[in-house]
Amino acid sequence: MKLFLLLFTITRLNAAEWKRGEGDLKFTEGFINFSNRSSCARKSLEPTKSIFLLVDNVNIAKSAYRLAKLKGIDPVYTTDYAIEKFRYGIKHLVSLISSRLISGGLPLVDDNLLNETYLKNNWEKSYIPIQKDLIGCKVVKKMSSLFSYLNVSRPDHYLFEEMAKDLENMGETFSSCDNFKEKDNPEVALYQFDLRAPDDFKKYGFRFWYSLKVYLAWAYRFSPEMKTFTFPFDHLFKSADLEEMVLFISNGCESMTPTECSDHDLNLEKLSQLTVPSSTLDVTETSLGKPIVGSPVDELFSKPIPLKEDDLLNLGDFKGTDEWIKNFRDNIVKTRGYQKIRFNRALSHLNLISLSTDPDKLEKKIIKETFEENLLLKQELFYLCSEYQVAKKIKSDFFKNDVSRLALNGSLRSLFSQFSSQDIVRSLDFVLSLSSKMILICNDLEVKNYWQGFESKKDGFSPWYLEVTRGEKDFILDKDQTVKSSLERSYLRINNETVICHTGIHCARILLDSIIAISSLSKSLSTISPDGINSTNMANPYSTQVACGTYDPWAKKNRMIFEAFHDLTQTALFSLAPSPIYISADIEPKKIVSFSTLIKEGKVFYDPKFAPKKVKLSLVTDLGPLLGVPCAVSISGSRLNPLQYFSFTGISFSGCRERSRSELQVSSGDEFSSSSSFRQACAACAINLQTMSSAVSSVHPAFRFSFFLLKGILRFASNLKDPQDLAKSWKVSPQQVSLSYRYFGKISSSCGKKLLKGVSCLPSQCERNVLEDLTRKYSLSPVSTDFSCFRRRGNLKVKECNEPIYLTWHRGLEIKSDCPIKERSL
Amino acid sequence: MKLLLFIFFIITIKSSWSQNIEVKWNNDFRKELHFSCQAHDLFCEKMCQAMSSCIIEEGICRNCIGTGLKLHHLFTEIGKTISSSTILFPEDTFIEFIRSGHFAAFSPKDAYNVIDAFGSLSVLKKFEALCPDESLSQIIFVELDKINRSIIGPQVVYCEYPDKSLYFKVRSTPDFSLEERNRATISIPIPGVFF
Repeated sequence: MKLFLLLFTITRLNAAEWKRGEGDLKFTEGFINFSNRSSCARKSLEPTKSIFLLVDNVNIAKSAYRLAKLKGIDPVYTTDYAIEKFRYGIKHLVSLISSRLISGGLPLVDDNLLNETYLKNNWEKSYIPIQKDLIGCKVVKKMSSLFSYLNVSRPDHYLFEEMAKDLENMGETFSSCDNFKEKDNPEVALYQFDLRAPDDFKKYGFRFWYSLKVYLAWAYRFSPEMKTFTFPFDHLFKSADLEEMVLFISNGCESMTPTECSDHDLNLEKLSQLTVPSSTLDVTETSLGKPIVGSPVDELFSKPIPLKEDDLLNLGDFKGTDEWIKNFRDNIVKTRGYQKIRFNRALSHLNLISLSTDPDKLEKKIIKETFEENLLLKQELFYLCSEYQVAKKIKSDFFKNDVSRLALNGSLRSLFSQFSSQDIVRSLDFVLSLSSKMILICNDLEVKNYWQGFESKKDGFSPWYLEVTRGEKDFILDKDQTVKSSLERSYLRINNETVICHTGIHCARILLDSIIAISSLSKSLSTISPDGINSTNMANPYSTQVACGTYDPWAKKNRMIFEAFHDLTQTALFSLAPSPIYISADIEPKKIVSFSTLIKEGKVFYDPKFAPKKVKLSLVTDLGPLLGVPCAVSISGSRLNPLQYFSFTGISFSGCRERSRSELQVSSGDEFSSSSSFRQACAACAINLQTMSSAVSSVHPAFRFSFFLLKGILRFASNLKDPQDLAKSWKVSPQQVSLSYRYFGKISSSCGKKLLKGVSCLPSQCERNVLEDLTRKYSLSPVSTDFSCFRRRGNLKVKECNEPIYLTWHRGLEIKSDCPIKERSL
Repeated sequence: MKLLLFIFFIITIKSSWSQNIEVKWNNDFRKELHFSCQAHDLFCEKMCQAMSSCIIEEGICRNCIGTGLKLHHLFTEIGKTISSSTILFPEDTFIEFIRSGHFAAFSPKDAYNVIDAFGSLSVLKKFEALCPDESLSQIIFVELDKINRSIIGPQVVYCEYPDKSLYFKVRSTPDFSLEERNRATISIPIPGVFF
């Protein structure tokens, strides 16, 4: 007979605070945060505590393979070993820097002091090793339902059941970062890092991530630790373009960096477009590969605000993470390659044409060509004139605005210096001068009816021209931009071999095409060839929308408040017409205050025609319980009243999940728990609303305002149920999901609702905690129990054992059973 | 024209340029330049105080394993717009350049080049086009930034011939020809000093 006597002390009964063990993969001690569109958009303004790190080691592998071949050693073994060392080095360096930053060993980077000596000095003073209790690292193997918060707003019980199953098989979703030999995908790997940062992380979170990236770029090349991590490849790796090989992605709605409405940030967010299956990716269809890139902000305006369920990361299209990241990596490489070829070609043409001739000479050549009695050349001249005239109209004047501004782009200038011995300004001046001449020539031709009777073909225009004028997207990179008759000529050649342009007209067209490509691509230089380590908030499709003001996550709430006020004042209007109340203009907008407080503070004014007492009484009658509800005040500048005061535009119901004094989240009543006093207060507000709406419906018809009051309240209640644009978030405990599933064998709809509220489906609190602690430590699936915390003993029936196990609880919990009980490995 | 110039400087070159260079990787996976000099050649002595052969380790070349725009341009344009000029690179300047350590050397079979297919015929041809006439081996030296060791630009092309080795300045601009319909060619003179 086997007797297992197990003793452990339950020190904490809060399921949310499980301790973490060495090499533990659990993230079940935390919460999975689900949020709808509005809430997710708001969260983009907060720093994240969880990130993904995409490591692309293809270049390292290629280099190691080549090196092995050159040295005559086993290329397969060497390549494998190099990949292993590279990944090991990157993971450990990220963990090390994070540990040092959180523990204060490394200071946050001060931009004013930033240089290599500063970083070196800071690093040398910090000798704290990796602290696994501060930074958790996991290899993401499968984008299972445990990542559903990325594309689901509000989980239901079906999803909870999926999650419970995936939690049972966590090894399929994650593996340990310590297992660095595991290489399911030799090209690319995805890691998840989770911080256990202090509560005040919000204050410095963005600086933290910025500092991590700066230290990583430095330490990768100069730290002795990296040398140790990656020996014997340390010297080789230091020559690798790290910035091109790693990409940080914030995990969830919160951000790694504060998103700005800039080309850089917008282009980084556009990377999410590259998660589509590569078989369906047409680079020229993406905004990163269009022949002509318009203003990124205009693009935001032209697109509808997506839903989270739209799955913009296309997670649903792939079975495993390996496929997803490989596809993502392939698309990035494909797009970058395409952009690089286009950019290099354009810079090269700009350089060669502007070096080889001058605008006057080229103009003379073109004029000469216009006099040739050659229909095909005339056709090409038609293309040239059309293109220059349209280009002039892009953004009011492309040449004046965009081309002149290119000279100010430092990265472009530095890049151009590699192509040319002359400054880019000279080449740009060439373009500006030639464009004026071309416009004049073309205008002159128009005046002289040069085109009379001429019918142009459509297929010879530049791709960017077709896109601008007709929205066509048949961009072919190598499309020859000249007509057949010209191909026999070679106006400009280099090294007596390569023909750059066949005619003068062709030269002018190539030049325009090049400058348009340079102008478009220079906006995404930081993504084509990153200067620093990039991070993207692409998991949150609303971060740039919020930054650029194209989506206001507070708009719905504000509108709702306005509507509620409108309805309520109408109510008042019908009882005491005209509307008798006004609010002082000195009230701070968004201040959270109750209406009754406003009255007490003397911020509410009454129309002198009415007696204040009577108005007050009427307000109490009209607003009833709403008077005491915390309200967010917003001030409207519109003059709705004859007096000079601003009108009071709103009352809203305080959310139970108020996270700061300035942020007010409105939640619907059915999702509130009454387990804490704070929540009870909030729940009371919501319940009041509901009870009031039903109470009002029974109001005697003699009250002529009741209809409007009811209408207002119903509209308010219906607004509260807006699934997307009224901020709502749910904290789901994976521990509770898992336990509920183990206990019941399924997740019912009612259990799903409880889990959504952060409440366990299991019986009472004390007994629940005992079971949770038990199932966390041991592989047990409880079926039923009569264990009582009051009696401190009881039986527990579990799936794994035929006979119930006997539990007693004195100073700790004792388990007596003949059945073998396994400790959990994960 | 090019051929005439080439013949001219072949006649005028100093006989002391009779060493050769190889790019190799040591057992610590570090890149090295192996110089070997003939008995009467002082090159090795000047380079590293050795008589017949010496090794110079190449430092880190920041972002050289990658596909950044500069590197992409370099490997795409080698043998096209980037090639040797007709100007020889002075020996002392070359030694100084190498000894400064701010250089990276690229050969046709290079572990750094992850853009082209390794050892492919097209890469070999591109490198062959770097040098005038038929050369046995070619190395292009790029200058690195003194502080961050990133690529500034190509400087020297090493061309090895059966009986001698030559170092050329990299041509900063290609030869242009603007051809009118009557096929008259306008050649743009290349600025610089002829050694």
